[in-house]
Amino acid sequence: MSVVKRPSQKAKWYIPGILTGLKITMKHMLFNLTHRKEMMTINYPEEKYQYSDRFKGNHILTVKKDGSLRCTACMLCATYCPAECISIIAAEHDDPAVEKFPISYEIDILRCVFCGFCEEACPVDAIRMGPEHQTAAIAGERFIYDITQLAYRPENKGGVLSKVDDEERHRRGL
Amino acid sequence: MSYLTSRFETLVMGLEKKLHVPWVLSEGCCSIEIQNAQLATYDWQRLGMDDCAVEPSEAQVLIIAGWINSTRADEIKEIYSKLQKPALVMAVGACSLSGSPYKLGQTKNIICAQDIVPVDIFIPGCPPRPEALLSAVLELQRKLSPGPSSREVLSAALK
Repeated sequence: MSVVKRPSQKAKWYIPGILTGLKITMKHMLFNLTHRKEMMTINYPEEKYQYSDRFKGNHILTVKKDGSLRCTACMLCATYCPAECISIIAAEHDDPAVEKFPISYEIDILRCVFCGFCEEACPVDAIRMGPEHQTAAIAGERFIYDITQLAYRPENKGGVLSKVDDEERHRRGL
Repeated sequence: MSYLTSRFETLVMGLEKKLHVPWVLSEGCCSIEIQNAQLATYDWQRLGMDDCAVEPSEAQVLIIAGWINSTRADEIKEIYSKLQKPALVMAVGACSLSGSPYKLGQTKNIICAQDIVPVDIFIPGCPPRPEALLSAVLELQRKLSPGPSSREVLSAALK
């Protein structure tokens, strides 16, 4: 036999419940008013969340010391890409020490899944996942990022230097 | 007194024009990022995106996230026809924009959002960060009312 316990007459009073709820709300409001620095909300366009170094954001093509692209157009990133969003056109370089270089390096940003496999596949540290979050755009803007967007956009300040140097590699016999 | 009430009315009208009510059609990991943008850390009500609507006829913005097959495409078309005019569409993530995580090999019947309805704001990423969603809301405000916003004017004056 089961015993059904009906709520007592005391539990029908809802005003104490409302007051406890309001107390919590007022506590948070007063805390936020007095402690502006410790507030939970990030005021987005003015304040920005600090990401860790391994954050995978928009792509960066690194440059050499003379400002040209570090990429050697070996097609490893385009082969490894699971979303098939990278397309490279290689060309012969005037300098005989440089084998080939990309005349067009395009990433279809609508297809990209920001997995970071291109960064892992690259043998010469030519492509990196940058520290900026993904950029939203209104219809009609370009969604296929080219070299000027990837390497020389204003956030990069004239290009990010690659860790791997050509002269060092030749000295080591690579 | 009548002057004051009329000023108040124009203020309220202006505020209402800047407040968008979304209808969220989300699935998968993008929906978690959208919930994150709604919650206290990245509160998007500050930037003029209201709480989710109860019915599609109350909403002005349609937020599409997650993969779209033929059944879902019909649902999106039906909801888009019910939205308040001018209707705005925000497509979030690689699934709805190109279907790239699903289109490669296994399934063929994935449809892109821009093939069904006119998309106004594109947010790439898999999934995009909540900041990308907030910057999309700012882009939307800039598209609807060109020129410097009150936020930019205030921040320039405070410097």
